[in-house]
Amino acid sequence: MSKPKYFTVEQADGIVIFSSIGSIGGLVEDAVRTEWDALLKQVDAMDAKHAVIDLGSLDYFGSIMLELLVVLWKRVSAKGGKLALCNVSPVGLEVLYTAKFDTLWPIVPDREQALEAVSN
Amino acid sequence: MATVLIVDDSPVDRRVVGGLLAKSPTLDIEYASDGEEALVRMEEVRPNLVVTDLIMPNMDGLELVAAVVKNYPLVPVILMTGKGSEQIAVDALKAGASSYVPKSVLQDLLLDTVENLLSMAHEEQTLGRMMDCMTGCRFSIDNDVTMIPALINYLRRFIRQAKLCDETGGIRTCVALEEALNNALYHGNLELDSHLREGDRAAYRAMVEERRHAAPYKTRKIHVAVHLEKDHGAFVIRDEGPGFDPRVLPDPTDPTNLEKPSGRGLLLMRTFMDDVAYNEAGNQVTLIKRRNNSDNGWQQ
Repeated sequence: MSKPKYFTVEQADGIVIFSSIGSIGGLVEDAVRTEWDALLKQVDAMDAKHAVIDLGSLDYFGSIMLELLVVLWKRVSAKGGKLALCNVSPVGLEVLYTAKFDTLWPIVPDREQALEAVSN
Repeated sequence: MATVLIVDDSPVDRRVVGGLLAKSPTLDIEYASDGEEALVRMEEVRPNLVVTDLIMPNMDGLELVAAVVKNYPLVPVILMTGKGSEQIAVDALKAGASSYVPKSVLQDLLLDTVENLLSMAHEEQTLGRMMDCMTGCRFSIDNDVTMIPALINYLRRFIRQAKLCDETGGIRTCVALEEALNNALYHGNLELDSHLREGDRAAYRAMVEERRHAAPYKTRKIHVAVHLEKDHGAFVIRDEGPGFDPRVLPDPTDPTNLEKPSGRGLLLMRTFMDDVAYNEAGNQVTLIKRRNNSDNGWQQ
């Protein structure tokens, strides 16, 4: 896989952590979907049950990001795992609450709390 | 006449630099002895350009560059550097200084550098004033996915310049516009249904590429028109597809639909704009952002 442009992935204690990178305005829909699917293949090979998504570098996002979250969520839930989001911008929070995604996963201020949320 | 503020703690050097610039009859020269005094003088005389020494008491040249960039972004700063301070000059440029002139060649280069930067700054200020007079803009773009973020970035700057809403309101508007543009491209011009993304995602992407290069999809365009009115901005986005009936979209916030990809774009458009209306054919959407909402700082 070529160098990630939108997200990096790391693993710690059975938790896979996706971190948005760069100061991305609009996400290029095809490119971000392609990269996300490639990252998910990497994640499938990891020994991780839970996932944390750190959206700290995104000042906003829309339905593309929501769709990617659902794709990841389906994989995580199939393993009986948990998912949490952190470092979400104010407009990003509005997007998540509007879509009622706060009913699906915890959305917490920082990564430490997100790791705690999926570990407990 | 343009006003140049010379900042240097050495009275002798101030006079030397002032003498070099005084050769130009179009420059008024003002002085300050350090960064702190310079900021006070800037409030008083509103210079068009600042020429500053690097090493000074109280506030040095680098700190002054940072303060000017923050508080007077259209005022260029020239740093005068001594021998051995090349790295600091690089740091100053990174911090936003417009240029630097080594002290050893001030006599040869300073006046030309000042006049060039003043000319460029004048153009930028004139462009800014012209943007204030814009009442709208239009685009017709191909089915090129990379054009959408580029257009959104442009519109974000346009919204800011037009003072349609504050920064947060601008971001919310851009979320809505991005959804409308993606809908126009994928669902409108390429006639791809959201449900296709629930299946084989690689196959979906292949279909996107195929249709982008196949008739009748490949010649279709997305038309964007922005109209700025006294009390609102109107964003009209039209595709050349057959259109759709927005009433048939499922409620994406219904618990049974949360994991389905349909309808979220329109939901976000309706949430972040004041009004969203489709034409009868369903291939044109008009999104309205009013100026007097709580999320904008515009006051007439």
